[in-house]
Amino acid sequence: MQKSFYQAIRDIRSGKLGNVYLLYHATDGYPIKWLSEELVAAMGHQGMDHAEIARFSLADRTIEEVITEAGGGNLFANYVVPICDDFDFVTTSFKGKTEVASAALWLLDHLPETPVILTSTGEKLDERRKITKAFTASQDAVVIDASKHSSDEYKSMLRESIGGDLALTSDQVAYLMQGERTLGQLRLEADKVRTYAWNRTSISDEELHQLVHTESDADLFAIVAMIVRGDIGQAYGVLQELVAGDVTFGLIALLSRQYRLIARVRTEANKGYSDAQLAAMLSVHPYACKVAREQGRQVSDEQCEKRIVELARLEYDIKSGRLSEKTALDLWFMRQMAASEGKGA
Amino acid sequence: MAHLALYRQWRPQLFADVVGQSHVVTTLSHALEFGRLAHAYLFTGPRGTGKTSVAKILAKAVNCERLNGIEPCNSCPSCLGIMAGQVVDVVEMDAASNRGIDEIRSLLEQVRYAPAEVRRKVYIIDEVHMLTQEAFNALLKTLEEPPDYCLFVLATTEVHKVPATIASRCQRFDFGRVKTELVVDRLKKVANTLPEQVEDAALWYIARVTEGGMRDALSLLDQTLAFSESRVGVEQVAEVLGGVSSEQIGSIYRAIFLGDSRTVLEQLDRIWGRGHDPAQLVTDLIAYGRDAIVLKNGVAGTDADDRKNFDPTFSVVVQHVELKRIFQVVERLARLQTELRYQAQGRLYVEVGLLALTSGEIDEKTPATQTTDASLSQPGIQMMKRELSELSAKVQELEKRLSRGGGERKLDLSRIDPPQDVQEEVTFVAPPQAITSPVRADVRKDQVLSSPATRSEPSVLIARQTDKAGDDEAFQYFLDQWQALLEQIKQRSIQTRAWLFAGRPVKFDQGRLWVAFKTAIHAQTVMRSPHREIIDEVLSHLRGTETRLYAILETDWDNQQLSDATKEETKDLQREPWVEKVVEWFGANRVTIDDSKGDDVR
Repeated sequence: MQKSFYQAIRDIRSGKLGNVYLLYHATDGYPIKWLSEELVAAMGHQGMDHAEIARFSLADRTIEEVITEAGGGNLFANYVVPICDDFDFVTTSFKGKTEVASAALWLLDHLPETPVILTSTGEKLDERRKITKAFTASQDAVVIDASKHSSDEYKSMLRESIGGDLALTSDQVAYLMQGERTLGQLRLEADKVRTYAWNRTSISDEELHQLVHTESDADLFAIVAMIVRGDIGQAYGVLQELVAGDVTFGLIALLSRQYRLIARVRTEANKGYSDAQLAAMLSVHPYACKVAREQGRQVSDEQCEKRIVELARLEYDIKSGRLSEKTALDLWFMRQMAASEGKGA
Repeated sequence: MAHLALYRQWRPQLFADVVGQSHVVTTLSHALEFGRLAHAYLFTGPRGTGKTSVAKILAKAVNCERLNGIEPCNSCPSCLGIMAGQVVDVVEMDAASNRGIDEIRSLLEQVRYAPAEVRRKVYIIDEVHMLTQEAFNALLKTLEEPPDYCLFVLATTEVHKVPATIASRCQRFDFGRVKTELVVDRLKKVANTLPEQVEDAALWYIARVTEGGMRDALSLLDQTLAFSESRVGVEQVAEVLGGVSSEQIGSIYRAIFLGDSRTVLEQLDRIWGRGHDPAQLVTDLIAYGRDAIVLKNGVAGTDADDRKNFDPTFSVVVQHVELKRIFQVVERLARLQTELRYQAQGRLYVEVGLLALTSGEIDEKTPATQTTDASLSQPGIQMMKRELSELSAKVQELEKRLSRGGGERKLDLSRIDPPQDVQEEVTFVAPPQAITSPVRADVRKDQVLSSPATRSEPSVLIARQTDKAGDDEAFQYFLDQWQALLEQIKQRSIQTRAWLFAGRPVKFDQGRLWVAFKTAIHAQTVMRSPHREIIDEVLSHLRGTETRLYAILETDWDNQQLSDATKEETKDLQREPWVEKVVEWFGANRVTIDDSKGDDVR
């Protein structure tokens, strides 16, 4: 049966251990490590002391060999929880022979005394395969997408990782969760925050921003949002902190796109289109439409048009060599700041 | 004892010595104190912010035999050995020069063995972004789950070049630029130990220009100390940097705002005298202007306020100037900076550019060294009026002198007309077709014009003399409007604009704008359809009468100029000295010499 990763962890903690755990999309090693440690701990609670984790690759041996080798423990442990990597037979990335894949079905008929963890980096299950159907239908197997977590689960895992007395605000949690962080990365960041705060109950946003890095892409989106809502000074400050190389043209492109989207959404929304219809019409995600609609309340059509023209000029000035990149961008920000302060430039 | 650079003398040996980076130091201190060290760290940030220093302190702290809290004692055999680079278990590797898979393999070979001398093996891989892809891949597995006795510290200035697979296996710390005031505090501490007298303003200047890099700041101080005798001031730092002091930049700005061209020239003269680079001067001017704008805007959290600490005149200079005016000056300087790259005479170009700025109003579309019609209509016109009245007085005096000497030639000032009037009085002796037809035919044949010298017949020469003023004026007009013209052409055809962009207008002659090109391909293409039609149309539209483009090669144009100059010299030799004087005062484009009517000058 299919379960989310965190649900599987909670089941293990409540003593409901599965026989076979199949983790696909396991590009990050941390979920495998976490799951196996939870299994060993739960086995200990159930009287199966002295269990050990052993790792195998199915690229150079069969499941039968692994199960035979792991069965009955070893010299140092009474029980062995085998982790079998490269179990790609169930995923779309597997291009091998069907017989090899079918051989993996042997496991469901010969369940070992300790749970088995099968892992694959394959992103998707191949639903057409017999073996995939068998694993997802089996009550003995728990099939988990190791990289997909719901927002609530992600938050719960984050709070669990931070632990202690440290309480983060919802904005701080959102900041930690932004970007494409894997569970392993999130754990590392949470560890860092916890170590920094240690016995404190809270930390400031500034401290959190110093501690936890965000990708420059995320920063750029934040800068765009700041500019659109008129926090030009703040946006300029964030831009100065970016050290990840050239961002000028990326910023110009993102800003132009956003203003164009706002202008289009404002125009079309007046005709009575819904966000979903607008999204289909403008070929963007409905969330982008929603954001643009909200931002559109802060700017007029004329302002949008003016900004688009200014940005086009800025890009032309830089690309034609009329102004140097840094100076042009600096001047543009200064102008916007002066305009927002009402000083006029 | 050999001299040890300041930044090496003052390299932090304890966590408490690290300037700034409190988030890193606190986290590592807690990790050491409570046993929560990660197995791999990734230190990233600009140069000179403490990445390698913290890595070394960490290596000592995890191995120190007599820890003082979380600080290494720096006196036990482990600390001393690590500081001397003699402990085999602490490896500092420069990935920039050991970047291959073989080096990483040989390093990883050692990982499997337990430490021999100290408690933990520490691998510090500096400039880790320089490793090859294969080397990174070789490192991956070990980095994910190294033995308990191993600690990896990767340091880099360019974290975006580190593969995500590596970065995600490390606990990452971002080292920010050290705040200016913290750099200054540290520099003061260093300066207090030195025999030389170091001004606070100089320290602020050093901190500002090094942009939060502690090592750079100490190196610059070291360099300035070596350069100076017994006292270090802002001027000495500026000298070492090859730049101009902020106060001097301020005095140029003040002169620009006051329209005081004399002071601008005096300051420039001093700056050139010291051998400063014009491009660097423009960069310094822009930086000053940018700070002025930030100050005027009142933006918090930026570094513009720092300038006040090393230049007390800064606030005074920008205090009473409108923000709009500062913007205009900075934008013009920014353009000057770009244009300077294409100028052989950098100093001259900067001088002319700054003098143009003193004239007041600025049109963004004209080149940085030109004032505009608008500027002429305001303070410029006043200046011209003054010059004109002075010239009138001089001419009257000359006239009196001539009449006293029994001269027959009378000079009537009332007959000296502005250029547009001269244009109205022009009469063509020969029909323009006499020159246009053969040339145009020639163009159609070869696509590129040959030298115009081949077409100068006597009658044509007379016609060219009489309408020369009008042509010069039209040429000046096109020169001024060249960017606007390119813009208009761009709106019709980007390609046409691109081809024409390679040319430069060199002459206007009887309804034809001559544009010189360095390469034949450009000259040929602009004369082909549809480019030629588009350009002619825009030219005619701009001027209001039919105007056509003629392409010429730069080499042909130079030859033509040479032959014209020779002829002009011969002709000038025959002029009277007083005519020469008039031409000199009023400019050749405002004086028409008509010998046929009894040596009258108009």
